[in-house]
Amino acid sequence: MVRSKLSRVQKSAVKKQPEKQFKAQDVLLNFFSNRALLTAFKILIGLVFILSSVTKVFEPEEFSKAIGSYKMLPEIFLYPMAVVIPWLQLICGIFLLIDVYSKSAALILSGLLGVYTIAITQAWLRGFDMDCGCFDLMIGLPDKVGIFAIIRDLVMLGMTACIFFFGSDKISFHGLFKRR
Amino acid sequence: MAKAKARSVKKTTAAAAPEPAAKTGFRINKSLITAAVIVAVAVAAGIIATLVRGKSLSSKPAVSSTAEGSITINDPATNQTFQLTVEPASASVTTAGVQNTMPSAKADFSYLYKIPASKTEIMKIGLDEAKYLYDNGRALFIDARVTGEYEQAHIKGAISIPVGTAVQDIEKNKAALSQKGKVLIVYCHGVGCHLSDKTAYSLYDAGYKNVVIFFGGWNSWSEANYPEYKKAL
Repeated sequence: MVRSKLSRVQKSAVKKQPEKQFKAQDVLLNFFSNRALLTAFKILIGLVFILSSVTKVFEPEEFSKAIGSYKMLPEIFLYPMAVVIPWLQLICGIFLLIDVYSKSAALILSGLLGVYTIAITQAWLRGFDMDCGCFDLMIGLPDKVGIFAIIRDLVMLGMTACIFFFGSDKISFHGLFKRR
Repeated sequence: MAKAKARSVKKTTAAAAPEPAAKTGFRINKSLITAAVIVAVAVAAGIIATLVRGKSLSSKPAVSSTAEGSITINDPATNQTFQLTVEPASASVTTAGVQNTMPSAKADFSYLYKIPASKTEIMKIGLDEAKYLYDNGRALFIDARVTGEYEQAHIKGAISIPVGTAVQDIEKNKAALSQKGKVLIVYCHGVGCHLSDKTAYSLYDAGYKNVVIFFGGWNSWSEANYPEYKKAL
């Protein structure tokens, strides 16, 4: 008697969740919240941002010129931004790489990537044929403003968004030092 | 008894539902606070790095005077002063791969009138060379920036041929472009802008081969306060 009542209650609770309707969505959610995938995203984005910021940290003058070439900001803001942004990238990159407060780091990097995407898109639409200033300071890669740079930034934005929505805000070191 | 158990199960399922929402709300707030702390740390790191760099720059030896025949160097770290004597007789000139663009009263700018044999040989000139041609009335400036920017301000006497202009549209300026003895100086925003290269190439393809690229562009011209047209506000 009790069991049958319990099972009825459980069934009704299960029925309330519209499971079958969102199957595709669930599959996608499961895929993007996969721990291994998130770890890969964190390491990849972490490395990319650390590598791109290292030279900028030591050469804020060069980076301020690169920001200035986008012609988006008044000159007075260029140097302060050129000083702060590389450090922000470096700190967030390290945090993502070692998986410490990765949710917050991903939030900041998503914001930065959003701004970069807008900046590159407007420069591209205005017909500026110039270097993007993203990685070219580091390894001298020919990194022009264009559709490739926009797509690359959007893909990275997707990765940081996944980390933000499905990641955790803990000092977890990818679970390496977890007590079992 | 059974009813009570069933109720308790219901209660737990009902209570479990709103919990994740409350938790995520809290987590987002928490990550916002952590993000703000990270930003603050980055700002502090940037300020400290700038201060440290400023100190190390000021402590580097600086040339204080370059009197004729000697150079005096002060080292603030050791408070020592060095004097280097310069012997002009032993000075030698090494030819660099880049063409000399330094200003000189007696400079010979005749190379500017050479017609390049191919597109890759189109010369890149500096501010002084551009000004020299302007002063001698041999310059026809061509603005490769977009029309809106040209209309706002441009080098005095410049005509607008934005990047991507079709050959038949270039031909509309034929009268100006085919003036004898003029050098077509293409410019855009400045160093790092490659619009002028593209317009120069299309001019070359259209048959106007007496073309050079002014790589300092609009920025260096306007910074030097040389003659310019500005739209009245």
